[in-house]
Amino acid sequence: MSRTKRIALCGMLSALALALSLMERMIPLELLIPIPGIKLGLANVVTMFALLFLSPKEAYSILLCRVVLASLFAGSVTQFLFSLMGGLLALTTTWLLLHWHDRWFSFYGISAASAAMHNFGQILAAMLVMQTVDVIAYLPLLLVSSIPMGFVTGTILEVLQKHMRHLRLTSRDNAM
Amino acid sequence: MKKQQISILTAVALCFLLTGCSTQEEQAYTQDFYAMDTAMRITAYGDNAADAVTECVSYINMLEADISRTRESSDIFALNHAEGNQTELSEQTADILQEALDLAAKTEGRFDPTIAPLSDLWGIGTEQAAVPAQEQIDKVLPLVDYTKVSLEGTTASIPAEAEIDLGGIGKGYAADHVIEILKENGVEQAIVALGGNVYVLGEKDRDTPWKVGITDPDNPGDSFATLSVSDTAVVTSGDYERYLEVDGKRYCHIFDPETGYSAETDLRSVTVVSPDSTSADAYTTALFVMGLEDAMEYCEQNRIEAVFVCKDHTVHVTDGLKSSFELQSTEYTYAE
Amino acid sequence: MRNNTKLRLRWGDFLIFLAIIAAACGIWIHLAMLQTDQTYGEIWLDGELYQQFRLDGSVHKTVQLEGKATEVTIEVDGTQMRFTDSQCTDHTCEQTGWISRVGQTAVCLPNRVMLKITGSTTDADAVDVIVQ
Repeated sequence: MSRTKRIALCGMLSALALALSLMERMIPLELLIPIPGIKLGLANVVTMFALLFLSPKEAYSILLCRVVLASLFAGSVTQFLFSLMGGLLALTTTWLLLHWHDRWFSFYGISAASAAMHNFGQILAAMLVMQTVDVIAYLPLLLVSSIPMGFVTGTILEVLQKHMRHLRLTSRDNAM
Repeated sequence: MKKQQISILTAVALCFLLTGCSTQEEQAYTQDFYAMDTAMRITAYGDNAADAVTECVSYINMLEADISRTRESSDIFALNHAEGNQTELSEQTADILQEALDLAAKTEGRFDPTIAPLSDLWGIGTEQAAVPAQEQIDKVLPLVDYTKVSLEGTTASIPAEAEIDLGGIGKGYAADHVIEILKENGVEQAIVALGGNVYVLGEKDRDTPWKVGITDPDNPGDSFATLSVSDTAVVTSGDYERYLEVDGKRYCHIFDPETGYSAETDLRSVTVVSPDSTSADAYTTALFVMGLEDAMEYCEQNRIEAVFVCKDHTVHVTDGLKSSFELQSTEYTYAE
Repeated sequence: MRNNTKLRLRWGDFLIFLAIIAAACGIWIHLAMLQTDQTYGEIWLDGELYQQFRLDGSVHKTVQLEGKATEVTIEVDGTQMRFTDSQCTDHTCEQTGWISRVGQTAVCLPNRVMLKITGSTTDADAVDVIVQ
């Protein structure tokens, strides 16, 4: 893939991640879990895709772009912190686990782990912002939800991977 | 493979359901705020709780803007500075002023909205609090006279040097209207605490009334007894709220309009229970001024339910409350 | 196209699922054990939570803060808290004395400082509200 194509792709993915991030806001997770700014982490699909078909560096950049833009568009400093913590932890976990993809883990497991770390990151950020350890009470619920989320994300990735082979967007040198 | 897919998908769906139905207890919404010179808290239950409570807070702020003595834009400020001339009041202000005057008449002046010049003189609760000289009291006392207030429709006038203070029933009035707002929003359970004015809406649980604690006059942070009630206001006035202590003698913020001094009776606090918070507010003041014997008689004649805490650490309860009243502290004795 | 989609879960996947559920349960149980009658003392300044402590006997300190009008001093003594020296005009806050049970509050009005006791309690005598 040419450099220009890569950059263009990164841009598109950032926009997509941003759109997903903003769309997530419509899901009223706050009714269940009263931490302002808490999210399911749908946008992580894009980050994981980037890890698979581009490179870790580009994946981290897309994540950063998405987080900064999202908090600029419709958020606050706390929003930024939550997204950043969650996103970074999720991305790093995915990157690590991908090394053993196909042998030990499928996309479902990796996605679930990623979602779990995303939630852990959010709670960690909440603890810092609100200066109290007690928000950890919401973690069990969030953790359990990362399994179905993992299936959703994993399915998307599986389907994508199947189809990506037909398009000339992929290159041989991806993160694996 | 298909079976496997289906079972996995079912598992996923179930997981989502699990996460959805965990914390669905009563959605309580509480707001703490400051208004009318006191700390207020409204807790409402139900789907519309948040909106309802927000509306209540707006209402209270709006009411305060109308009847505040200190805000220059308020009706009462205008009335107090009208130097004897007629003043136009808003319908709301006129309404509450009328109720204040009615209650003053009913309590034969022991509750009097024109008491401001006297309470200002004593300044209890401010840094200038001091026992005034007799001449000063004599000068101010004639101004305390609710009969000299004229109110026709929305036009009012008071003597030039007189002053109206609706603080005595302001919170009670606010509570009554706040309860209406909550009901209009579909709220069936709520606890409204506006300083010493509590109104409990609905019941705590099916057939379980709310437990309202009565402040211990010796330990104002704690309660010494409880009333198990529903759908009613509970209002207390006591000598421990705001007072001045000089040479070992305590002068509280409830004044006797006849003597010009703090009400000196055998009572330490009076708690009135009634679905009408406005009148309850006025009654606690009036009953405190009357002293135990007269107060109990007044309650019987006017069918008012109340709890009296006396200086000798006895507690007297009117008949209607006997079954809901429970004494917790051993420092007090229940008088049959 | 669908007949090719095999749901291939690997061993590691189950490990991950197990780990997640174990973590969730672990935290949940740990919290459930903590739940027994844990009360917290809270200091609120002008509508915002300023500080929070566990009132399980471990915290003994004095907190001084700038209220809206003057300085305010609060004493936390293990299982109770109170206003001590306050420069406010009416000193009603100090007169309230010690508070220690869930639901009790003490307020310094001029400074908009409020002390609250919150938490879960299995105390059958607990009141829903205190009329002051």
